[in-house]
Amino acid sequence: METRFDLLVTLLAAAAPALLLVAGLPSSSWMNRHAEPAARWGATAGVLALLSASAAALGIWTFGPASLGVDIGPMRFDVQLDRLSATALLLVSFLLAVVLRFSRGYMAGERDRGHFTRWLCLTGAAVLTLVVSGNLLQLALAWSATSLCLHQLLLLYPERPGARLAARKKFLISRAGDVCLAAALVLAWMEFGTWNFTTMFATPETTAVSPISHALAVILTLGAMLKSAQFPFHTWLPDTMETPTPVSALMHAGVINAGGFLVIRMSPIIERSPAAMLMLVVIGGFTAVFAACVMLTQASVKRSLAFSTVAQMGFMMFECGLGAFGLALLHLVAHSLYKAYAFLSSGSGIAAVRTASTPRPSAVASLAGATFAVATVAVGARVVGVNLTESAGSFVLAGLFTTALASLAAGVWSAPHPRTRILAGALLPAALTAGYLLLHRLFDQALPTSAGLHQPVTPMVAAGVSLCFAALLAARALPAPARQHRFVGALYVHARNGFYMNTLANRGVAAIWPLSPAVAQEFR
Amino acid sequence: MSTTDAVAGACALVPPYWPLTHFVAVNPFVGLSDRSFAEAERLLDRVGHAQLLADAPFYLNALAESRGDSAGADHDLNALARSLDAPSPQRERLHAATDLSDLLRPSVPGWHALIVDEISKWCASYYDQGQAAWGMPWRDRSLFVAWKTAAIQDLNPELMGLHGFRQHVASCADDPRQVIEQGLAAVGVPLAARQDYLHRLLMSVSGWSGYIQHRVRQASMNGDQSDELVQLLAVRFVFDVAVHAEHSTNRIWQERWAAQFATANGDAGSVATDVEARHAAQRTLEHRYQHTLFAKLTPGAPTESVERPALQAVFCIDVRSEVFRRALEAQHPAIQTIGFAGFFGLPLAYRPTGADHASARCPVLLSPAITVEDRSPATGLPYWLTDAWSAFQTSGLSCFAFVETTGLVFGAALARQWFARERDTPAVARHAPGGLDVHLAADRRTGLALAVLQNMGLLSNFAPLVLICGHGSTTTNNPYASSLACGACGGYPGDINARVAADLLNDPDVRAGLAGSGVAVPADTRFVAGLHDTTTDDVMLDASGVDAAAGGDRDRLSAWLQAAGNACRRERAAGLGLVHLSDSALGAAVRRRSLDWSEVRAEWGLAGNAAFVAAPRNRTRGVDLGGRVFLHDYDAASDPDGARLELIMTAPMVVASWINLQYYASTIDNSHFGSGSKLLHNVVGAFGAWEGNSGDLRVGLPWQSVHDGERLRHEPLRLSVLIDTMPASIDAVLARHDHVRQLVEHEWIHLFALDPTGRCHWRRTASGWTQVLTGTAARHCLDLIRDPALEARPLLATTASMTFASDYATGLSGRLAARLTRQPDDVTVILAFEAAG
Repeated sequence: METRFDLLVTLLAAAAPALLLVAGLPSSSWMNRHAEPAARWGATAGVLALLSASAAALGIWTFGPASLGVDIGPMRFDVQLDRLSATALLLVSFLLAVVLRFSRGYMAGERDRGHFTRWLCLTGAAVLTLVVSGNLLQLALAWSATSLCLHQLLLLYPERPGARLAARKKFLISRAGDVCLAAALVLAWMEFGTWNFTTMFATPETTAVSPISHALAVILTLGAMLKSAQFPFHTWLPDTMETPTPVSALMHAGVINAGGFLVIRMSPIIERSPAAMLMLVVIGGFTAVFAACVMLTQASVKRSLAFSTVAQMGFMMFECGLGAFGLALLHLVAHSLYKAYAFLSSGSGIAAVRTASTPRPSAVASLAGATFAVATVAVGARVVGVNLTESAGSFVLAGLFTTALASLAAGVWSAPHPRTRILAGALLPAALTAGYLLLHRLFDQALPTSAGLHQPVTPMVAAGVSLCFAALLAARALPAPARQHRFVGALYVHARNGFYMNTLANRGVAAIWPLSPAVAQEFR
Repeated sequence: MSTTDAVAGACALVPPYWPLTHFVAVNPFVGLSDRSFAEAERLLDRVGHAQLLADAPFYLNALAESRGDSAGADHDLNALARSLDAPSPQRERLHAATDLSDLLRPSVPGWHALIVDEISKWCASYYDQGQAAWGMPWRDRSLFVAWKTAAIQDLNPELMGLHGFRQHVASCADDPRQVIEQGLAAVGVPLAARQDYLHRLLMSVSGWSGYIQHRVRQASMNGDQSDELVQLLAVRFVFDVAVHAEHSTNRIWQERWAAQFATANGDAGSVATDVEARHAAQRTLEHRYQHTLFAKLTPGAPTESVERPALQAVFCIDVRSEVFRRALEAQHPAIQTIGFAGFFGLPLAYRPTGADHASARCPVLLSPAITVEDRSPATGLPYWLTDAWSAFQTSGLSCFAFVETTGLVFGAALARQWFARERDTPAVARHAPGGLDVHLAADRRTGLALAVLQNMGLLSNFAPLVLICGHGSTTTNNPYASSLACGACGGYPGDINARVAADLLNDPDVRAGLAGSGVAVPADTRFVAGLHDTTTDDVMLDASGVDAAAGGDRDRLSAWLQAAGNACRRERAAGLGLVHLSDSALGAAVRRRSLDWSEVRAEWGLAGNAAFVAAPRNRTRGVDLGGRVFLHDYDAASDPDGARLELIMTAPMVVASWINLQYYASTIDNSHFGSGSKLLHNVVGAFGAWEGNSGDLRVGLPWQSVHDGERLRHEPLRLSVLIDTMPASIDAVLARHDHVRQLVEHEWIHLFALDPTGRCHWRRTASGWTQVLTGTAARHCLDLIRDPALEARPLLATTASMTFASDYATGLSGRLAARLTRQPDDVTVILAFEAAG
């Protein structure tokens, strides 16, 4: 039954994509002719969308969920707002407002500036529609539209062969993702007879999980993997630097994480399938370790950021697989804000004057750091009231967090400035722990209470993943002579090349969908 | 030619490019200045596949704009336009194996692009200054050996289709020269073509070549020898040999390969007609500018003012200072400004607080001689904390925890950028007093101070306040920020040099010493250091200097600087699209721009630069030179032995020409000499930029620095140098400095001497001096030339190369230089003509 509150809040939420859709409606050539007013109007639409999204998000977080369905012909347009979609709506509209505002100055004087503004608005409208979708069909269509709109932005400089190659790679992988979602639509209809989320998720927990439901969970997970640059489908992402910086910012902060959003949104279905959860843990964990390793070796700021995105997306999927959906949502939001900032400010990466450098952490400092981190996290969890040992999954995550904290404390305590450093080495990790645990609690509240059907990860998997992450830590701590060791050196060379995944993917794409040299020549 | 000579010859042609940490303008043709402009054009086209002249449509447009304002010359312009319209013949180019593969079997991406990416990948890792947390392990070895170590493990080239590449690399010697020697034999390049072929290889990775050439140059300034460029050449060569081997069975390919060496080196002397026409058009544009410039200068002998000025302000010769100096002088007749290289004659090495090494704050042609250490308290977080924090942010494991704990804070950072507010710092103090520790022996201080004053030409009639004003710029999120700083300070702001100069000249002991040398600085004269922010046109003053100045003087100085800033911003507003704003709104707008992280054109830098004038300020005072002229004070009367002239012509003039040719090249052929679009820049190794995913290191200026999206903001003109002295004095300097003479005789700059009457100018060409007439004298002369009866004169007939195709007076062309020998009372006695250039 829809109340006036539902109507108000859903209309506010729907206004956000609608505003951007309107801003992007005129033709590219018209927008190009009126590039400056178009850019200004785009930025204004971004701000208005942010305001209405903020109001809607505030309402949802304060007064609880709302939904509204409208039948348009045979299709049903559902807006579903819960804390998850409200959070994503606020996040994406904020990023869009920032990116549109940034582009207003940044793109001044560009040949296709109006075209750019147009497709930026339309991409934004598609992502916003995606996050407020109340049914699977709408979500799938919005997702496909996002990818097609983004394609236009990736081809802003069609004369650059690299741009076209990357766009083709992305296009092919996205279409594979579309196939997965189409299959999911079929399976969902077979299983539930509806695409409406509320109805789909309302299945009693006691019923046994059917094979179709399993298949649905797996295919949804696969679709999310394809669309959020998980290994081995990540190869297009690091090659998309042939498009202006704001596009990278939007893509890495606002679009790529839609895979994570899908998994969290569909978590009531996915978490009931051990196969899907295992897939998330293994592929997500592997992607995280793999891409972090590659990231460490990259010498250019944007490529480094791109592999960082792949790694962070992997970690988010890994968290989902461990059943920590709240943490995954925190990760999604925090990463988006961080990455948008990192991309937009990537012009500031020229080396400042180098100062003296800190020595490597000593054994004593490392031991002290480890002890201190364990104590801080344990005490903090008790005080804040977060149970970090409820499952093997949350234990693994807490362990990774504690290790990171320990390395930070050890790093600070290795500095040759005795007094201040002891205080800083203690206060900084303590503050981070407090922040982490509080956010952990807050974001857990964003999601409906879990069905409690987490398939616990086996200790074997947990141990294996932890080992991989530990290897990452070791890579940094290695002294210089050890880095020249044959195996470490070879690992470095392969990591520097992204383990050749890009080269292989490029050759694959060139084989099935070759770029015509004639066109390239013509543009040149 | 031996291989060693060919290698050395090819390497010598590569210009050095400075990293973005301290970007210094470079003449991209510095290795070619011993060739004529036309020869260099031919070489760059054939070997570099790059352009030294714009294309015909550009010149047709530019010439069309001038129609109407030069009545009478239209038929000459039409003739030029017709020759520009003629189809340009296909010119032979020299190809490396990668180029030839792309040419004969085009693919996307081509071999050239793939191999540049491969080289760029390892060079970036080898020279990385802190981007990668896991750096290349073999950086303690030489470039070639480090690359080799990586390459024998790197599967990428083979996956791209370069068969047996690792084995090929493994079979190479460790000595790069030996690799080149063997490679030349393997690919079969004849002796005569070797240097060009090697030059081609270096040009195909011109960004890295230039960066490494800079390192080689630094090493040699420190007394070390470095063959890193040869090592890069060897790396590039290994790839070319491998690509060549891929085509060993392709007969057509091999025939083309051999044929290009047989034909390519024969036609060095001939110049294609279309190039001649474009060069003529280029000269025409330059002459037109010279004509308007000369017409603006104040004629007559310089007058020396005897009254004591209220303020003397020394600025850098930078073209942006011209606007500010004019605006400042307009505030009061008793304000005098002086133009001098912005390091104020102090070759400093400056070490900021807490830094582990010093940076040179002087023109790159000099080595620093004085070390300055900053002792002011450190600002910001201590390094051990930032180090640990950045490790937490970037390490493979903790980056995930970093994001979850601090990611949300970046939301606030994004919002803060949105509401970036302008600083409220016009004309206020900026530094705490003192804090600079200058390592300079007491006995050298007086001598140095005297030299500084002499070179500025400031030896008497001191004002109560002397402002020594360096310049810097404020931009945000701009990898090319240092390209807007002071070139004379090595790509850094000039505040440190200004502070050291002011401290030195305020020192009582130095003052006493100066008095002993005959330079009496009045006791009430105070030197004040300042920094002109060229983005906002605010001037920040050094607190210690301002505080010591008398209150009234201080307030007046602030008021003048603020008013001058307003006038200056008003003048620059048109170029920034801010004309409609009020003074205060305009000030706020430019300050906001300087902090706007999305602004790619915060200021126009030195765009538009076209001339260098070394003359007393009286020649140019009150004249609007449009921010296009480097102004250096020079009074020939006080320089009888020509020592200052020699300094000006060998240092500031050469630097100005470097800047000018950097802008010229980045405008004419941005894809080879510029750095492409800022929107795609990807900062690499924390010192350079790639455009997009990868590719060569980009050097030169971004397209956004010379173009506003609709039209060029930099008109590509070679520098016109005008010196207020007799031709003979200039010749004396040219005779001693070959590299300067070559710049002039090979048309890399246009050099003029100003006649003492200020009415006509002498132009130096390869064939000597010719007199250039302006105004009525020129028109009179033109009438004579056009007189049909005149043509019959036997005197004229003696000059065989005489041409009447164009004339000077309409500003069309100086190729026809008029030499007018004047008798005391008769201006038109003898006319002789010769085609110059």
